[in-house]
Amino acid sequence: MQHRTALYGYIFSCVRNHTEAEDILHDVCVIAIESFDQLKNQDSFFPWVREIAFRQVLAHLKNQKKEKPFNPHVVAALADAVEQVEEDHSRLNFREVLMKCLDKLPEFSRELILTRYNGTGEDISDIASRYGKSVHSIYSRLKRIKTLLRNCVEKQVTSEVSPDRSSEVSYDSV
Amino acid sequence: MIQSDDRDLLEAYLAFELDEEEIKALEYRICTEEDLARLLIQTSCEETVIREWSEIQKSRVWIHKLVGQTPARQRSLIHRYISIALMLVVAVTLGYVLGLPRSISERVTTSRPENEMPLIHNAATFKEITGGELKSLDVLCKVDEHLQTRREYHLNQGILRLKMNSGVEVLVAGPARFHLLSSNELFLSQGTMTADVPQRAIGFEIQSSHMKIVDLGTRFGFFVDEAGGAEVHVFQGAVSCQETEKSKTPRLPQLLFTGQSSKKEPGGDLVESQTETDSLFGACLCYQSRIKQLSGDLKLLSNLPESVAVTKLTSNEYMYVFQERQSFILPADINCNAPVPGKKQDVSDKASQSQFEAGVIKKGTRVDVYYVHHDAHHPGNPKFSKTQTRIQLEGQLEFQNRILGILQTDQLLQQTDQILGHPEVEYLSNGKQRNDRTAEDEISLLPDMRTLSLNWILSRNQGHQNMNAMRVLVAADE
Repeated sequence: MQHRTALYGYIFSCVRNHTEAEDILHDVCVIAIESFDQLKNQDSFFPWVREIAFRQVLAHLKNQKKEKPFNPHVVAALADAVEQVEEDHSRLNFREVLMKCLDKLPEFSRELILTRYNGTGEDISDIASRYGKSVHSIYSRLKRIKTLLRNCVEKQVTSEVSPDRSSEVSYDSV
Repeated sequence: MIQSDDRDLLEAYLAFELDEEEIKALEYRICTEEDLARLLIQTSCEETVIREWSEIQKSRVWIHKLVGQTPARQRSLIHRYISIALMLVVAVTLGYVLGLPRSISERVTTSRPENEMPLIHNAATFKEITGGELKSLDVLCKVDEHLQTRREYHLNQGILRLKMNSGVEVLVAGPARFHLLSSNELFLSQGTMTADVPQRAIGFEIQSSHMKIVDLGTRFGFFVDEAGGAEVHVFQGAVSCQETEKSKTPRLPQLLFTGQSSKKEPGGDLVESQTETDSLFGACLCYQSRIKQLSGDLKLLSNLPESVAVTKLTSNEYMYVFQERQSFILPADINCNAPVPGKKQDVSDKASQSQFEAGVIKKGTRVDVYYVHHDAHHPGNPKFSKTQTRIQLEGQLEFQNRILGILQTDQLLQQTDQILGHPEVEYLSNGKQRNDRTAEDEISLLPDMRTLSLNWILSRNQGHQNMNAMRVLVAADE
């Protein structure tokens, strides 16, 4: 779904839990579908659906207030910010470009990313002991990979704007 | 103003690794510094895409681990990739040489520029097949094999079940030709298919040469005929439906909800389809519900009914069937009428009940549960026929597995509504009569122990608000 990455990014920033974020995004989709006829202008789809997400996040966090205190001003500030992020992402084709950069990662970096994000809940110390490395070393390596991914995205975007510039990024350091 | 360690701080915030004071200070900055709020969202978005990418890679990593450990296997894998690549080159070349104007490669290229095409990768797993063969470039595919992008698959007949890497369950009825575009996109050149899309795969896309469907959280069916005409039927949820042909006046996508359908002939507009859902998708829907065959006046519902109360699911022509539970482990012993093996139907045709006797299905048994329902129009309804006050319907219902028991009295049905009924269906509350079976009703079990033959009669001349209903429990595979 178009806008999914930005919407999910916003919701996750607010609730900081993937399961809850997925549930909220699902509810937002259902509400958007059911009330689609209320959308007056197709061009303002994202602000409209973001408003639905904002209300759903607030309602969700209010329900959990006792266990997990939250700051509603943060939810509002992030709602303002996500619009700009989404605009940039659509323009730069962010998701596709980042996927391409991930595909280019060297073997060990790919494996490390896959281990970190495989959804089994393994934390950094488990990963460190599996590879016989220190926790700090794994943290640093993941950080380096992400930095290089960001550089790769930037270069890809730049090369699309000026095709004569090389879009290759060196992954030697990871 | 963004500082050098802000990104680390935000990652720690998202991972709940900051203490209370640090959280307060950071949240204050998020509220007052727009750049920082944007950076937090940007960081979350990166995490989201990396997670998505990892999901896609999982199956590839699995294969790599399995076959990449010995040099011989590694070589064989390389040979296999080279063969596939060669076969693809030959196929594409042949396509051009033979001038096939509607070849799949051409059609896909028109919908997606070449530089955006992903490399070949695993996009789905071939889970099971019945009554047919799945081939790609004349090579037979095997169950549990991974299906790849940029290959055309051909199902000659029967039903195929595949699972997209995104989690979407797809059933394809042959003859069909299809093509995977990614782990969440499929191109159907010809044939019939149904999709069951889980929440995490919302956005699943199916394309044909004339129509594109984007799922918005749903179950739906898609059909493409030989000429390229396509239609979509929504069983549950919603889809967005769009023409893929370029036109001078591009139209907005059409939203379709539960029970709605749309059709497009080549060169025509999107119009509502008049085709009955079960005539197109009956085979897939039966397979999905683990029903081998339905005949006579029995009809499988493509979607759950909201209610089975009197007058809510009424028909003079059909006895309706729907699956209430699949692979359900019984939380308690269930009293029922259990089939008696080896006992044939009585010659008089009236004592068919003797094929069943009071029994118990034990707690912990894995079952599929079905509800069969008949409620004809009542006096006062415009469809009530004065000349047809006695309505008799017949049909046979063959399940894939053995029947364990049937529940056909009010008491047994009411006792099990809570446990075996579908949570989204409204059943009659206790005390209200649901089921006043007439003496002429017959239910018989065929020797295969999987097929029920029904002959149900409803009398309407006295204006009784009664109906016929039955719950069937069938053994489910582990």
